[in-house]
Amino acid sequence: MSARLAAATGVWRHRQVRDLGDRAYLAYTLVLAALIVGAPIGRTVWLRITTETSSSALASSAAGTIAGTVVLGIWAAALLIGRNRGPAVAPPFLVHALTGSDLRRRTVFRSRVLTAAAVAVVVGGGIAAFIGLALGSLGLVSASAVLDFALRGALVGVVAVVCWLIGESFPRVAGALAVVLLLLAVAVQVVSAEPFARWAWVSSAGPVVAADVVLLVLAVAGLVAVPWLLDRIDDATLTAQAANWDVAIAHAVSLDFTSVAESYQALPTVGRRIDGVRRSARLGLVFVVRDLVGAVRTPARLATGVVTVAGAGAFLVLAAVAPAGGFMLGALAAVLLYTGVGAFSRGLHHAAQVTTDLPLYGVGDGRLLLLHSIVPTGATLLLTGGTAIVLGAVVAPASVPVLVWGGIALPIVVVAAHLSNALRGPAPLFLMTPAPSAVGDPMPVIRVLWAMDAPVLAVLAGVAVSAGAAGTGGFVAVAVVLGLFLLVRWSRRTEH
Amino acid sequence: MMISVDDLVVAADDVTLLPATTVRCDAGQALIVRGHNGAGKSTLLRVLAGMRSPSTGTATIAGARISRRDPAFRRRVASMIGLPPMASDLTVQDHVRLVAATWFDDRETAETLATETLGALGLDTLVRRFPHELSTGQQQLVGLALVLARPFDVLLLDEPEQRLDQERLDMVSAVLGRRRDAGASLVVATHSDLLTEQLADRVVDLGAHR
Repeated sequence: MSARLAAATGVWRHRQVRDLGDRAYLAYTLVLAALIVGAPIGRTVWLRITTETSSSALASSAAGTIAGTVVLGIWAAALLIGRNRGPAVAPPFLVHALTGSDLRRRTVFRSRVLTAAAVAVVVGGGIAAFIGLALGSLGLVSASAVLDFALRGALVGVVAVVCWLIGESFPRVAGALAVVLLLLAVAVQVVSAEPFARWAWVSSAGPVVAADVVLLVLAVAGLVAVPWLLDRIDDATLTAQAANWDVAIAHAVSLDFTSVAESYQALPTVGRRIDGVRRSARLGLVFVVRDLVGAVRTPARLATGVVTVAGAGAFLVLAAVAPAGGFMLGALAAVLLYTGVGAFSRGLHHAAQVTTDLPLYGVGDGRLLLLHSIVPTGATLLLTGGTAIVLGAVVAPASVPVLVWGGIALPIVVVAAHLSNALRGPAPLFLMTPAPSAVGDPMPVIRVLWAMDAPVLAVLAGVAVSAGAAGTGGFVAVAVVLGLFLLVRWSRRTEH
Repeated sequence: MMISVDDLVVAADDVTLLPATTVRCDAGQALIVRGHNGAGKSTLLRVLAGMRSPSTGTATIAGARISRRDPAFRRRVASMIGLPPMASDLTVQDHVRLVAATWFDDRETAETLATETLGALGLDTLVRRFPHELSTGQQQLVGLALVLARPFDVLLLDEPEQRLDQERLDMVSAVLGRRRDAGASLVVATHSDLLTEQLADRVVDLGAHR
């Protein structure tokens, strides 16, 4: 770090100096969180993966193939995320002050990238070591294989950070590279023969030297290229990413996660010559065309949404045929559905905004929301329900009745959850009031639950439908709670 | 009388947001609301738009109580108090045409009004732009286009001159003048001498109360 950079960042850091007490409290909080939350989760996962069924599944070649797909998927995701939020991000004023000087980008942002790489090494290596040790404790892999796997985990982390930076430095190249990696991820599933099956997984045959060498070369080459990549980030990207991140943090602190997501939503740049409003006597058709054209104007988002929503249907099938843990797959299906439906529900969110504002359209608020619900509901029923039923008929015909139920019920609840989220408005005052009790103040947790209720209810609905008939009661309970939330938010919409 | 405001006061706790105000405005008239920042101009418009309840006094439009949920009120009163919410995935033209399409059963009438409104506000060169591609002045014009592309008997505008250059302001003034002459009641809160001079049938200065 140059003397000038050190002086500038020193001034910035001295705005809010943490005294010894603050630091001790922070350390105390982290240790407690690790002991109370981290340790039980870690123990549970350890116990789960050291069971006979899980460990034999983890030691199979299928696990290696899946790991390869996951790693390629992580790298692709890092490339795409870097386009909107890369590792070289600082508070807006600091970015303005530092990039306005003659200091080079590599000098200003190197420490942030290296810190990210260090974290990635710890996380990647830690996860690999954890899995390797669990399998090693059962004698399924040797100590040298565990060590080798941990090393590869760390290297995978470093490559992920380099991909993240490439996304920020070369957004267009990163997009193309991400597509290539995703195609490779699919190819890995098809070509599962050795040596491709073990490059990203622990091997019972000992260290996988070829994979070590390739990953080491990639990681070292990436680290060497970091200064060059940093110098190539343009001013507009740095400024925009800093501003977006600042806004996102501000929204997140106030538990406004919808605004956080909106601040990173792709803005339309294509399809401006397509008429979004067709001359039609049927208003329903006008709004369907409007929402579909709106979705087409962000093609990458639409494609991701289609894949994600259809993927939710595939996960419902997996949940139906899985011998155990089907509820987790059902939850994952709900997460995918909740995330993917965003590509079809821009109109719905706009309508929710309009209903809290002055009258704009010549239809009532309720009808406006219904008109904008047609496309997200139809798209999710078609993609999730269709995939679940068609795939289920091929893979597990006996599960089709359950999949018909899940493929219809879950999309409707998830769209309703989106609508509830869009109508949320500011937090009720009573949530802001501390409520001290013998076990502490539960209000911060309740505030987070209030802010996250829509995805949480969607996940619970996913868990319920994955249980088939046994989950009907749970599903009805989720639907009733969601209905109540919708009613309350609907009645309070003009008070915002 | 289209708009009647009698001894209207709006207060929050012990802070007076709008001092006692009595005004009238008939069909085909423009009421200009003047006053310094914080005088209560926007508060008066919010009461007339149904966004805020009066603490004391009464306000009626066409002799009826004010309610945003009443379909007759929604049809009668158009208002722009701050920019209306815009959809990021619609172009300028889509916005105006969609609003018009929801208000008129006759498609041709809707299309004609949308096209005329865009032209009258000089937006015809911007029709293919998305909201994030507009300057703040252009956004202000699109906001005005959205309230003008629908039927109304009463138009409430809060500082429509904001972010507009002289040429655009003249354009807006001419459009508003035509709507007033066609029989609409306008209530415009403004700091603009030009709008006051060109539009006002009545002027109420809220600053004079203090």
